[in-house]
Amino acid sequence: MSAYLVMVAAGIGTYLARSSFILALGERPLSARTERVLRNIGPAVLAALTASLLTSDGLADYLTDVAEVAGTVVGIAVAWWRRSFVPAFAAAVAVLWLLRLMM
Amino acid sequence: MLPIAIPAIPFGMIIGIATAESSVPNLAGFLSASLIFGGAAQLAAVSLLGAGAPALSALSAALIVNTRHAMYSAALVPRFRGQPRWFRRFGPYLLIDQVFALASTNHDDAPDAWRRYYLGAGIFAWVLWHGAVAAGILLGPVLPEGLDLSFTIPALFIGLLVPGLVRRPALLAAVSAAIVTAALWRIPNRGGILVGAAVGVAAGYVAEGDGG
Repeated sequence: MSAYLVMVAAGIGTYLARSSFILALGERPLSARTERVLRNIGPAVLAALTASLLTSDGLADYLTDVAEVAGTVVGIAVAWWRRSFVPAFAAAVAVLWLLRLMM
Repeated sequence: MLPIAIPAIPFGMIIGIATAESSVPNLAGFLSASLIFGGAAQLAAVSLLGAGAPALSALSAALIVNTRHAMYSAALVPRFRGQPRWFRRFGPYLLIDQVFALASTNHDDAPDAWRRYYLGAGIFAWVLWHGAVAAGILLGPVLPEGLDLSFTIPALFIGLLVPGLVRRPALLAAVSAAIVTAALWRIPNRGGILVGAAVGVAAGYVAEGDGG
């Protein structure tokens, strides 16, 4: 299987994942219980994705990388304080680059 | 849309750079932007193929990474209800993380306005994304070493996620999902994302019952 086939198959699978509930549930109403599940899917998945990316090389590698941990903490703190995307992203990356230059 | 799209530029460029520096054909790396249109899955496919992994394991990694989009699909069912058929079929193709973050937090629009907002955000991100991947393929080989661009991706998700954590159940869901996923980093193909997200959703479900 070539790289092209991987991309085509992954593309089809991705579309099926993205359209699954929208096309399958159609016009049927959602129960209160389903709504209760759905409300927190976004936060849970984004947090899991972030944690997975940070620990790509292992949890210990991440926790001992002072620049990455500091960048993460500052990013979360600024995002929480300012409730805004750009300052949080800029602060996280700036702290990482600054500490990388110093160490 | 623009502030949320800015980090997609380094992300797309990282995919382009990874393609240019691997054995994956440049055209295949570029076409992944149109075929998959999802950065994490594209990066998983390109980096695993480039590392010499079997095609099937590269494919399964990309698919597992993007399984989370089924959850986005479920979360947006109420917004897609009553929309025209063409949009219900085409819209999901554009359902990337950033579009989901924008579309799921914008609850007040009427259906027509919401559809225009969704399409505007999605098509803008699509064009920008192709440009960024192409730029990475072209410019990657001449970038200086040591910029550590990979950290921009989790930094992007932190900026998307944290400002929206106002309600206690959402905060509990995010914190528990992150801790469980980090603890399970050894699970191959980023399978820990699915376990961590499921734990987070369960924690949020319980917290909603407490009057959140």
